[in-house]
Parts: sequence; C-alpha cells; structure tokens
Amino acid sequence: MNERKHREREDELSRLFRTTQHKLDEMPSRQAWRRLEQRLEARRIRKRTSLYRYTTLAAAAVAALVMITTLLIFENRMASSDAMAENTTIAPPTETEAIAMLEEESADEMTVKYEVEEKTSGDNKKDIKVETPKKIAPAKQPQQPTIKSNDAVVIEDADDIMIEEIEAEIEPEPEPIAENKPTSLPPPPPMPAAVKPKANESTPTATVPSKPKARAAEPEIVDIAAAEEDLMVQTEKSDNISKKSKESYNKKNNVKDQPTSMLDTQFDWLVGSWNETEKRRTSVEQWSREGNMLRGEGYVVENGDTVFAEEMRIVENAGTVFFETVVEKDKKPVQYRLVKMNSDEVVFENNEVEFPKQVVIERKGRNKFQTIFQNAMPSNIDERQLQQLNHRNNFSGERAVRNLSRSRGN
Amino acid sequence: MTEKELIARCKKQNPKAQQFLYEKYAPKMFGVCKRYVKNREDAEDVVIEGMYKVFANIHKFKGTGSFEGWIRRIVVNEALMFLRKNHNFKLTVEISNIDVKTNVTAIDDLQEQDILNLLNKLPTGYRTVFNLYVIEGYKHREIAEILGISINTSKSQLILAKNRLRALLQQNRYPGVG
Repeated sequence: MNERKHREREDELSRLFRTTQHKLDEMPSRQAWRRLEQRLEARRIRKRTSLYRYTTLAAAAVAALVMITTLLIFENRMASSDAMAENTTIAPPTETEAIAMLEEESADEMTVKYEVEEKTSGDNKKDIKVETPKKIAPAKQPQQPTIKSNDAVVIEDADDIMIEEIEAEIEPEPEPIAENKPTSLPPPPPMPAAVKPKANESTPTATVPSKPKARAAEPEIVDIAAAEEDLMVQTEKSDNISKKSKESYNKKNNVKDQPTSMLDTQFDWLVGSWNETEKRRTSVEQWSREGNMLRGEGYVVENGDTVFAEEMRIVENAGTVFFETVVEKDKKPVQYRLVKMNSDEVVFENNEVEFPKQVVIERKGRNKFQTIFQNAMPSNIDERQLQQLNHRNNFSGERAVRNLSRSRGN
Repeated sequence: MTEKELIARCKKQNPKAQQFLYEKYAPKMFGVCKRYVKNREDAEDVVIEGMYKVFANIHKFKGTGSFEGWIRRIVVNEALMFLRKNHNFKLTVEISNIDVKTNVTAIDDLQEQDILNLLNKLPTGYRTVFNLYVIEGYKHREIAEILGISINTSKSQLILAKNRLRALLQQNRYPGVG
C-alpha cells in the first residue's frame, strides 16, 4: 500500500513539474537579441565574402585559361609563319646563305654597340636572316634599317647620325625619371604633347639604353634650382601669393614641394562633399581643412537611417603625411604612413596591422575618386572587422573599395 | 506566415524572419535553459548560442518532426555542453552524497514559479537528470549516454533528486506531495 502511494506521489511530483514548466518562460533581455543579430549579420557577410572569393577565383581561372589559349594560338601562328618564311629562304639556297653570313656579321656589330638590344631582340636574329636578303641582295646595302613589326624594331646597322636623331627625340622625355623619384615628391609634370606621341611611335626608345635618361635629368635640375630661387624672391616680395598660383607655378616648373605645403598642393582636390548612391544605400564623405590636417567624415545611409559613421584624417607631422581611420569597430584609429604618391594615386601603408596594410586613394579624373583598403598579400579577417569594412561599396576578400563622385554644388 | 514559410525564409537568412522566429521560441527556450543553468546571465548566453546554431543549421531541418522539438533539442544540448564545461557528471555520485542544507524560507502556499525555482536548490547532477528524465522525456539509457555516466547512476540520481524535491516541498508545506 505504502509502495503504491509512494509511486503515485512520484508521478504527482513529476506531473507537477511537467505541467508548470512553462511558468519559467520569459523573453531574454533585448541585449540578447542584439548580440545574436550581430552574429547572424557577421555570418551573412562571411557567406557573401566567400561567394565573392569563389567568383573571383573562377574569374581568375577563366582569365588564366584565356591567356594560355591566346598564348598558344599566338605561338602556333608564329611557328607557322616562321616555317613559311624558312621555306621561302630555302628555295634559293646559295644566295641567301651568303647574305645571311653578311647579315650575321652586321648583327654582331650591332650587339657590341647595343647590349640591351641583343637581349630584347634575340628572336629577331632569325627574322633578319630571312627577310634581309630580299631587300639587301639586289641593292647590296645592308646598312638600311629593317622594320620587322610594331613591337620589335631592329636597327641593323644604325650610324651615329641616326642614334643622335633618336636621342634628340627622346631627350625631353621626363617620365622614366619621375617614376623613380622618391615617394614624397610631387607628381611628375604633364608630358609635353609634342614628345609623347613620338616616344610611343618610335619604339627604339625601348631598345636604346638608359643613356638619354641621364641627359634628360641635367636640364631639369637646373630648372628646379632656378625655380626655387625665383620662388624665394617671389615670397619675399609678396606674402599674398595665392595657393592656386603657387600650385600652378610649381607644376609648371616641377619645383619640389616643401613638406608643409603637401596638404595644400596634393590633397586640396579632396576638400568638399562626395557621395555614391547604389540601390538603397548612400555613402557620403565630407572633407574639410582643419588647421594642418584634412578631416573626412564618412557615413552610410540605408533607407533613411545612418547605419555607419567614420572619421578619417590626413595629417602632416614633421614632413610626413599620415592617413588615420578606424578599421576595426571599437578600436583606436590606425595611422598609415604615406609611401607613394603621384598625380592619380596616393598610397598609405602600415604593415603592423593585420588588415588593411594599405589605404590607397585613387583619383579618377576631376570628380571621382576611390578609396581602397587592401593587403598586398591575402590575409585572415575576423568577423568584427568584416562588419566594419562592409560599409565600403565593394568589399571582396582582400579589398574594400568605396567609389565616390563629387556632390553637386561643390 | 505559416511555420513552413517562416522556416523557408530563415533558410534564406532573411533577417526579419530570423527575428520573428527568435521572438516566437526564445521565451520557451530561455525557460528551458533556466532549469538547467542556475545563473540567469549564463542561461541567456546558452539561449543565444543555441539559437545561433538553430539558424546556422536550419537547412538541416527536413520538416518531418516537430520544429519546436528540434529547436529544443539543440538548446538542451547547448545547455548540457555549458554544464559539462563546469561540472563533471561522473563525479556526481560522490558530490550528491553530501547533504546540502537548503535555505528555503517557509511560505504557506508556494507559487508555481517558486516550485520550479526549487530546482535551483538541487545539485547540478540531480537537476540535470531530473530535467532530462521528467521534462524532456529521455530514458535512463539515453541520459547515461548523453552525460557519460552509467544507467544506474542516472537512476539513482533521479531518485535522489525526487527525494530532495519532496523534502523541500514538505519543508515549504506544499500540499499534496508531502
């Protein structure tokens, strides 16, 4: 009897707890949903990112395949054309052999004169053997230059006058020097219109060694010194030289900028309001000058709500320019040092952070620019950082890009 | 929106559907967690983790059984994982032999919620086996497997848990079970 009662009590106890179990039901705190929501959002971004990654990989694979195919086709064509040419030379064997010997000799002379040319046009020696007989044999003038193709122009036996002419054409070409200049220098001046096409047309520029570069540098140095002197005199005479006139003066004369004026001359274009609207999202950046720095306020508006805000700064400290911004939520701003600059591209770098190691500002004409957060090498980005970076227009595995256009009325 | 539609939208990672599903099931799951985990904040952490796993694995739900049951299994499993981090169930016998004095104050008529709160007065091993057997409906063989204990330990833990609860209820003059 007691045992039976005991069993019943047990059942009753179990039933009591089973029937009242829902009394403990309660909505967790609002913070709980926010935490879960953030994790779910990060997961969505991660999925999207991996999708981008796969797409990029697929695109890269296709591009590689296309390149390989193109190369194979090109090589096949070259081989077949070579074979055809060889066939034509075999037809009159005695004459061509003799002329080929002559040609080889003249080619050897050239290789002594132009060592660089030998490297680039190694394959063309064959072509010379084949083609020159037709032109040289009747007239017996092996000194005539033979142009084989657009890419490879071979001067078979150019005399001194010819070389001087070419050098004279190349002399004012400042571009290669400007490229090798240290990063803190201002962008190279615009290339003289008369020189540019010539340099492109006459491909010998590629085959002629660096001789002209050294020559070209000399007048430039004189110009810079003279221009600096002029500038000193001008500033002494009048303190009211406007920024614009100074800038244009510097550009004209290729004067090296003092570090203090770098923000004025190199980043002045950035001041103003920029935006980009895509679907329901609008990205806005407003850049203004505050003392010795440029301050950029960026925010992203989605469906009328500001979903993201950030602050960027370009500051100048002891002659070095830095870009500062927050790249990870709730973390301190990261400072990137200017490492490269030309008229279209400014590169800031910090190798101590995981991502991004580089911040690149690319100018796309007068009214467009792009900021790219990237790593030169692939990296591991954590969820929190993904959330922060996703507020750029175009975010893929290794690059976070924001495209901006100048707002109307600026 | 039917449950089927809700699941379909959640499978597409629709944020609004996810919030809707959370609001529908989170209170129940929080109740479940509170029975396993004593600390309220810890119970909330378990709910978040459990619900995150629900959303991450929702594509695995084939729609054959009860959706609430599926969620509940994930959440209970999460609660057990949390307990395992802080409690060794294999040592439960030794620990449970120690008589823990309870500090339940004498109240004439205990409210239903207070009865459930009595669970918190039980040692972790007692409480877990009681919950799994009485509330979730697991068999001793399954509980032994889940907790990594023997079937006999599971049985004895349940008996001890019930005895302790009875004593607590009598102490609080709860009618009917004394």
